[in-house]
Amino acid sequence: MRKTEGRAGGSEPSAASSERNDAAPRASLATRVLKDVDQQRIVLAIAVILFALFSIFLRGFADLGNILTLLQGVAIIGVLGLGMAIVIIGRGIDLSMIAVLVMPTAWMFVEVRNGMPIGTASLYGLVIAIAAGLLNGWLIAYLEVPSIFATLASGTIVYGTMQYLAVSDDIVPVPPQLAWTRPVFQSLSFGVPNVVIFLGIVALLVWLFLRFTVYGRFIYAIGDNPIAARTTGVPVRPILVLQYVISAVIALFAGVVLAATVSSANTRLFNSTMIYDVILVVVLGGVGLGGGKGKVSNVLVGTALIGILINGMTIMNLSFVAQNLIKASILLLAIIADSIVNPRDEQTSQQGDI
Amino acid sequence: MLMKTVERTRSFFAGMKPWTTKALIAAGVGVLAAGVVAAASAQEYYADGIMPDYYKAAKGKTVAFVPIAMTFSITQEYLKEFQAQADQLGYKIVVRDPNWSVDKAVQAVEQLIVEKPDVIIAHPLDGMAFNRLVKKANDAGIYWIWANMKGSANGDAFVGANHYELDRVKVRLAADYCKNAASTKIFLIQTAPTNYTAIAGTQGVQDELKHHPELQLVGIQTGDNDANKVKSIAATVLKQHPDLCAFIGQWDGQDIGIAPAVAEAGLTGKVGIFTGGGGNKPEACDKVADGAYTAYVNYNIETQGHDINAAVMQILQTHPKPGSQPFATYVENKVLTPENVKDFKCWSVSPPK
Repeated sequence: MRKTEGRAGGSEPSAASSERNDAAPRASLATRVLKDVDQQRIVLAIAVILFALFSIFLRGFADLGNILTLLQGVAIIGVLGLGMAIVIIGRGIDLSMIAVLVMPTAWMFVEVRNGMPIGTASLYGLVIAIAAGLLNGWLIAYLEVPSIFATLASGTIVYGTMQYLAVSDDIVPVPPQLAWTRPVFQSLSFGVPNVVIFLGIVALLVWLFLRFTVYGRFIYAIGDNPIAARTTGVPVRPILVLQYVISAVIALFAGVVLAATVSSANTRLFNSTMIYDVILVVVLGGVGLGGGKGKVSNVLVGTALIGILINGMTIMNLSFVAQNLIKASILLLAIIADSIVNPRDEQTSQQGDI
Repeated sequence: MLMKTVERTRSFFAGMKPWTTKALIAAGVGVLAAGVVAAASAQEYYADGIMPDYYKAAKGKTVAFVPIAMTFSITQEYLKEFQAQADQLGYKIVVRDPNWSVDKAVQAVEQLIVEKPDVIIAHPLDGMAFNRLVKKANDAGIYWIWANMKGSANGDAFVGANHYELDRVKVRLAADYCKNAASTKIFLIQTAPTNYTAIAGTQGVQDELKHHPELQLVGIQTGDNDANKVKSIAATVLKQHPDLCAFIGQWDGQDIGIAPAVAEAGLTGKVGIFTGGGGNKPEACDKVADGAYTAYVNYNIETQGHDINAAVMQILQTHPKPGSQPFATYVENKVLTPENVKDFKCWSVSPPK
């Protein structure tokens, strides 16, 4: 456990670098610097540099209002990133998040418009999200289907089933009974957009969960080395199920907030590249795809960098193609950096993991 | 309610793929209806020289519809109109729903070319993806009609909005709106960049701007059919240009994100929002009435449905060599404003279930 904590904190040297240190007892300055360089710090530095450059060269960028707009634009991606980070730390991935983001909310809107009480509809929405999480967890923990395939399929099942049974339109306007959500999520508290406050609350909860609860620590242990975790008595399968339920519930809440901010639930997002943006902020911030490494701050830094980039590129009026090219290049760089900074641990990695 | 759900679930699992099942159901209904009509319409026609040929031309034919997706008002309204005429005249409608996937749409058309319907009506997300298939379909003896959006191949007919003129109209409206505004800055938010509405519309904006040198186009960004993305673009633009005079959008389906951004910036009523779309009541007329849009250029999908039906009948009666005599039918671009919208009859699709 101690080792896991250290690696999660990102400050202790990885196994590879401690070997290097053993070989060269007098650590050179370069080694010591390298020891302190992790991906989160690299990305933070890039974010700070970009922020400084944009502030100097783009008129209106450093304006407080613009910075809040920037955060507002990526808040939902950040919230989803927090859910995704929990799963990735536990050495999995959840591609079904967008389906759970859009479908239960859309279905709730349809039913509330048809006269179902708001409380009942919300309860059903929660049940659907938890059921999706349980399905993922069962497929991955008990049937041992690789998470990337299990969640790819379950996302399509959630989307397809709900579209067929209940949600025939892909844009579902907020029903009049829920019109009050509009001022709640489209306004500011203490000058900060409520969506950004929502991101803050979710970040706090996820941080408390990962840092201070036994289950949170177990997720790190499982991600770091599932076999060792099982040997030491960690209930690996139930914890895996738990992490997918958490990511689904986070996606559900993000979906409600997202729908309230644009006054409609847009199920078409399921067919968009949004899931890649979510993975982008998680991996970019330095949550290792190999599992066992990463913190809430990684996701927040990744989210901030993407926010700064998108906002800056919009102000610079770059074309859609150029924006996608730049985002894709940055994701590739982040993955390369991830494989250099977090080298594969031959003892615990297994074929087929992502 | 419970029984309905059980029944739906059962039919869902029978097919597993909802679009396939839906297409099968639609096809089944079509066949059934064709049978009923055939039995009922054994009447004789008045031999005025053309009427019998009209009815004979349609009977027993198959018309395939490949929409962007069957999940929004435009395609649902199209299908309602197509099915009504098909039931009346005794031909069959087949729907292949690619659900927002360009790849699946291409596969669907490839498959249809093998099945040889008489007419394919294509409503493309990316018209260019169909270019090669238009010729292939025509060579196989299938007529090709573009609905509202087209690629560079003509096929046999284009029926829909003049998107080039549509966006020129929006620029003229914006120019008028900005006459007395603090600035003459406008911003264009495009649909998906490969979509015909973006390709033709943006050209229209740029050409019309030559006639309005006072207008300053401060930027073009892509909303990619996503209202949330449009909202964050609009919010960023308003921070950058708080004196912006107007937004020009290319589709109400995504431009619904502009008004919340304007409201959050505290600029409601100070920034013009000019968009357009199919003229559905909840998405167009109600939104114009509640002030989400300053003006809305309507390319009436109900009318387009009638016009496509007419094009089908024209082609089936004259049966030219496929692809040899392409023609276009453009619907009127009708400007809706909060003042005139109450006098306008908006269509709406009643929910299919």
